[in-house]
Amino acid sequence: MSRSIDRRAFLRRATAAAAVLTAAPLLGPRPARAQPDRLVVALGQWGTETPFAWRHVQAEKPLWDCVYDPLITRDPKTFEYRPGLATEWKPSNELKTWTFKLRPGVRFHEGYGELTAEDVKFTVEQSHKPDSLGGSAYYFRNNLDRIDTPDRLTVVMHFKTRQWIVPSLFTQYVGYQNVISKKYFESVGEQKAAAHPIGTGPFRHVEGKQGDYHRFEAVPGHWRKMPAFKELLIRRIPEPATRLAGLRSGEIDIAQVFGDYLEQAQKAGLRIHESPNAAQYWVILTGQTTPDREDFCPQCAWVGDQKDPRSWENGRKVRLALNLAVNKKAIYSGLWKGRGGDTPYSYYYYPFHRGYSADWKVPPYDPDRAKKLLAEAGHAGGFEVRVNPYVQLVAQDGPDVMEAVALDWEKLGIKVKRVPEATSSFGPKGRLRKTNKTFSVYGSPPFDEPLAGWERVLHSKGAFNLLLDGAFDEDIDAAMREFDPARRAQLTHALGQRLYDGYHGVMLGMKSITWALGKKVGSWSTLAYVPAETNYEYVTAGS
Amino acid sequence: MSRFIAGRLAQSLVSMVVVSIVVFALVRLSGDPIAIMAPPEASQADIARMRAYLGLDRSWASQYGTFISHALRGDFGTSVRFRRPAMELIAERYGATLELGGLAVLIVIVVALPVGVYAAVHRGSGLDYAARAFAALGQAVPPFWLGLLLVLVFGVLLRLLPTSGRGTPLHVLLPGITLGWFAVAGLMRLTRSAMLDTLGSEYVKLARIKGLPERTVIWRHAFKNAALPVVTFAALLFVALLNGSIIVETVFGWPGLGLLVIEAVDSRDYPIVQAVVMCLSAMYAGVNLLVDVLYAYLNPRIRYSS
Repeated sequence: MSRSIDRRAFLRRATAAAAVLTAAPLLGPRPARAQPDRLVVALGQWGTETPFAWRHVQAEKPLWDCVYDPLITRDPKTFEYRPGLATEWKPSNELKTWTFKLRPGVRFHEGYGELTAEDVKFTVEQSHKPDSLGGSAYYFRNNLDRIDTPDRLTVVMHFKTRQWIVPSLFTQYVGYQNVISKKYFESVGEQKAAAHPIGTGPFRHVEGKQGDYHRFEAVPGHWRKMPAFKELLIRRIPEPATRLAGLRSGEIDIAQVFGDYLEQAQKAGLRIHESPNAAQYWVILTGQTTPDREDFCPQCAWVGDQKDPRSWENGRKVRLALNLAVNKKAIYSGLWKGRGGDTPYSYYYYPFHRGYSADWKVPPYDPDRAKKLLAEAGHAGGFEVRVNPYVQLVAQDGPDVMEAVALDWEKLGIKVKRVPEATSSFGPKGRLRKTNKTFSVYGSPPFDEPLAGWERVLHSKGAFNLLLDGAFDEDIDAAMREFDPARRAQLTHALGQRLYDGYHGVMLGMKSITWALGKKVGSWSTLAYVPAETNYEYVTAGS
Repeated sequence: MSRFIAGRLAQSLVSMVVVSIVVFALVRLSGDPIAIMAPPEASQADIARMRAYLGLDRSWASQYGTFISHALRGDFGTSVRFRRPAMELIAERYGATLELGGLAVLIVIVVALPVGVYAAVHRGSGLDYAARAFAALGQAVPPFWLGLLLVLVFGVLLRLLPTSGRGTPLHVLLPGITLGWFAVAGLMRLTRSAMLDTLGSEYVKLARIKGLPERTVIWRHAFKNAALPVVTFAALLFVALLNGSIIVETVFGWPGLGLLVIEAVDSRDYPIVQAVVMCLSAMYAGVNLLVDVLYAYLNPRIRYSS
């Protein structure tokens, strides 16, 4: 029987097709070789991709901060304020008025003129737009009365009440206001200005594609820092294993890595760079809220009834037991690979803050004592808890850390029910205190003062309950009303002590944010305590 | 045939209306985009003001009326998250998805059909066993694992191909192969089994007895009849390939529709989710219609007139 597609013919054709497919890479252009003047940074996510402070959710900072300059910079090691676009800033009128003097001669990219007070005013006033929800828009909308610009380089902000927190809103990280060019924004409109932002920063935006990449050029003779690389390419690569592969192949020069990828990166000969102490971790023990909230749970073993001293004390014993049960050192070595440690506090109080006490220690790993405490509190056989192993912006390894904690708790007889739920739906529940008493791991960056954090997450009127609600309202209000920094530090310390003694969360320690660097990178001077590192202009070229 | 097509078109329209109602309701039941977008410090008043600004405080019936009337004009609204027209964002991403899916489809056609037919014709040969082993492996290997393996071999070790991203024609090769791999295995198995069924049939024997060339027997008589299930499977497979793959796009940092959709679902970005689902349902309805028409062409015994 004659066959038109005989074996040999088929194999010949199949071989030819395979050869074409295999040869295609060799016929086409070769993969982009590492260009010596180009720095390639890979990010896992960049939020809403908006370059505007009044819309962003902080995750955009690693993408856009290179285009802008802050009014106030930070000392890379101490976190203290240093002049930026503003050469000086001072309060008057009992802290109701803040005056900023701008640096002369700073120019916007692409010929949009010199930075003036009108640009700063225009930027801040965008917060008043009805659809401005990001950054510090809420703060300015609620507290700012008006802004005057008596001369080209002076901005005077008038607030409705006395405000000591104003400078922090113009520094790097929390609430950072990217000063935009009024002239450019008004001439092209918001949508175009968002796609191609114009700033005063060390890199000029050249072009980009939404969800893919953005390309920047170094600004020659920049007033703050002339970048070492002529070109900066920031790419979005969600998968950490692919980012690591890009580093190994030389396509990428800087990428965030953590967990097991740290070891893989080191084995591949890549250097690891740390942004030290960038995130404090703790487990939120939900249920410690006010009676008007759905999560309120005085009968929960770890909460107790505030009106019943014995019940309240038993709740504290259980919380201490939950702290003692966790082997923190195993987390530092196993999950964080030694890039973090037992910095002795976890709820927004950082060692550089005034009033911080070195006597505060992360509770040691002591499961025997934990068992005794549980028995004393009447829970010798354990109890059931719900945990949500979810990824949080600053705690990307939240699921792993939560699981490590859960396994330790189970050794005490505590029944841990895992109820995974995405950040997108779990986050709003936290705001409303409707989490069904579900615990989760939280990672926090620092505020200028812990009070600024506590007002948001400890106060019964605060946005979230990340620790407890209501119990310290009066103390927080008193400290927030205190404008003398020294006195405020005393009140903060006293409140910090009470929080520490209450063991309201499970303190885990402080973690560094880690990056792997390719051969093209020499060194990188990053900011301590800042998780979303953004200052690529301080990256030097390798040998 | 024209009555059949008109009937199918009407059915498709009804399906799309149902889809529009379901997707409209589901995305709203799944959560509030403003609550997700708002920073921790935003007050309930801030959230309420934003909701009112975007018209999300209106009744569902009113919102649906606006949605459907605008959608009929091709306007699916502005993305809540990105503040850009939803269709503009989809159009930007669709080029990348089409490029990736197109290559995957090409690989599937070039590899799965000939190898499937050959394996059936040469049943029991070494190549048949190899093809079956490949098919089993292809369907068993998860795409994320295969993708990372290809990246490691061709990107890191051999440095022949880029590890991620989009740009040159080389960038699409690894994600295209990863995306097409599973489909090749599935379609190859289906083609082989369908061909085995038809090769043993009486009309194929008759064709051979009549002395027709083997090429004609295989392709005109056997394959044409074996193609019915293959066409159905392939059509839906191609639509799926051309509509983005979340896993492959994530592994390769490929800026396609899949990543946009998963982010939109995660952030409850109603306009994008609605626009994508409506476009997808239109594509599926169109392809199903096309498949039905192809049935009639491939097998005249099928009559739709009734």
